[in-house]
Amino acid sequence: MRIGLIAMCGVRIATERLAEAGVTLPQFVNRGEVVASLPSLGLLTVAALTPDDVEVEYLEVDALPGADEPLQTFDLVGISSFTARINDAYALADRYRKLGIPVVLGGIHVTLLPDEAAQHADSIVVNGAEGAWPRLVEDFRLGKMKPRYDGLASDVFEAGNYAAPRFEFLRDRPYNRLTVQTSRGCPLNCEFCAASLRLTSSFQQKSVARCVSEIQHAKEVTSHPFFELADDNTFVNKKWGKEFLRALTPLGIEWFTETDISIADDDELLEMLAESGCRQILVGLESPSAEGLEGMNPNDWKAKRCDQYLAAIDKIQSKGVTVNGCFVLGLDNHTTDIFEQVSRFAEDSELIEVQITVMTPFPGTPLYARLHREGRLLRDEFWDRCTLFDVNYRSKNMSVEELEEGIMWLFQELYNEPAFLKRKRHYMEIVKSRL
Amino acid sequence: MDHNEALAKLRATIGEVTQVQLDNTSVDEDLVAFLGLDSLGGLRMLAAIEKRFDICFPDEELGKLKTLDTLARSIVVLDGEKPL
Repeated sequence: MRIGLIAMCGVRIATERLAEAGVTLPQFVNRGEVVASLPSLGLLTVAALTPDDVEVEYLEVDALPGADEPLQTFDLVGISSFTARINDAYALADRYRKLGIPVVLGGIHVTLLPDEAAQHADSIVVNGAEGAWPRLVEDFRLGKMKPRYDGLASDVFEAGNYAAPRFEFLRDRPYNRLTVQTSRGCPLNCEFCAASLRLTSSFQQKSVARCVSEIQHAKEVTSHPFFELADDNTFVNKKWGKEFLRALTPLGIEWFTETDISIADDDELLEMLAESGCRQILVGLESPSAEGLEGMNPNDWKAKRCDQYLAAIDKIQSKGVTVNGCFVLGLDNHTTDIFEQVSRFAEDSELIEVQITVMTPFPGTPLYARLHREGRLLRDEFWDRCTLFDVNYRSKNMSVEELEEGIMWLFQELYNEPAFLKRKRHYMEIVKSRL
Repeated sequence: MDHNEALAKLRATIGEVTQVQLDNTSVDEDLVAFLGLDSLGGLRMLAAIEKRFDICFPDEELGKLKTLDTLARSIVVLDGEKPL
């Protein structure tokens, strides 16, 4: 039996002028290319959960094959996609099913909108593949595949459920970026978040031994690998974090992850972070002022932390670990002043990297439910516009045009050549001061 | 400092920073690609070179310093501009 596992990759901004502005700005392009080059860790895990006697092929699809191009055939096809490419995933699934090849769909979008996905699949997997995929394959073999399998939402990293991703499928890829997941979920539970927390019932952490084993395995598939931890918030548990960094340092890797600003609270952790080869942490700052952050998390966690942002960024970066500060534009309390505020904050904080996105109501999130309830969504269905740059809702204090114009202006402010060079120079001076 | 001297010192410096020996590497090889560096890795290499040679590359040239040859040429010029 042969199973084809297909990952939809690449995102295209739908709003023409934003797309045009984006592709001419060097730092914007750089991060976009990095994200597009990341493998589908989910499908590599699905491959690992597949019984040994089944042949598995892992494919990454950016452009859909033309209608007259033949599809690679399998006995069973599994497709995973994020929201922005889900319509392409459905189109591909429909083509396979017309050929008589059964299709299974899975991933976050499928988990959040299972009824929609089921219209394009013979079976769907919701939550993680752990606890679902092995059963599905056995049922398929017996000709009894069910229309839906619910994977685990908890205990995914426990013995008997966990499977180490099959990194060997990445051996001939032209990219050196590899992903390893150390946790799923995030206790901050931001209203807009459509990441792995939507697959889990609570924050779940992998053992340090398993993380290290995966990294060692992944290191073998490419020369000079650079690791991205596919986590929403790696250092929620500082004690675990120190144990992890202690084990990571001897591996001599360079890596990147996402975490929250509280990492700056712990001097020892920061020193260990730099020692371990961490080159950048991405932090969802979301807004430079507390007013924009109110109501975003339970207990207003980010709003309460906001006044410490500048000092925390300086402290982290002084250790040689760069901060990629992320801002969400168009939050409910934002007015047209927000664009200048973010620009000024980026300047004052000397962030080495800045990422701006527009608030995006991904389907299935509390944000989507609220904006739908308030009648503020611009369209009923806009999945291909869930790119983080296209505007899909009415902001409270700005028109759609004002929001788009503001993003365009901020793109130019943050990603122009002199601003880019200034950030490069700042980083080099930090590095020199630590040599 | 002449071009060959700069090249020899550069090979040693980059070798120390990246743990990759460049003795047989062409002077026209794209170092970032050859060494598999990301954009920050490229900047760390340039920072180490600046520190070792006690120079400062002009910011607008940072993106052009991709090979041993271009680096050595720039170093020779900057070294020559140092006050005696």
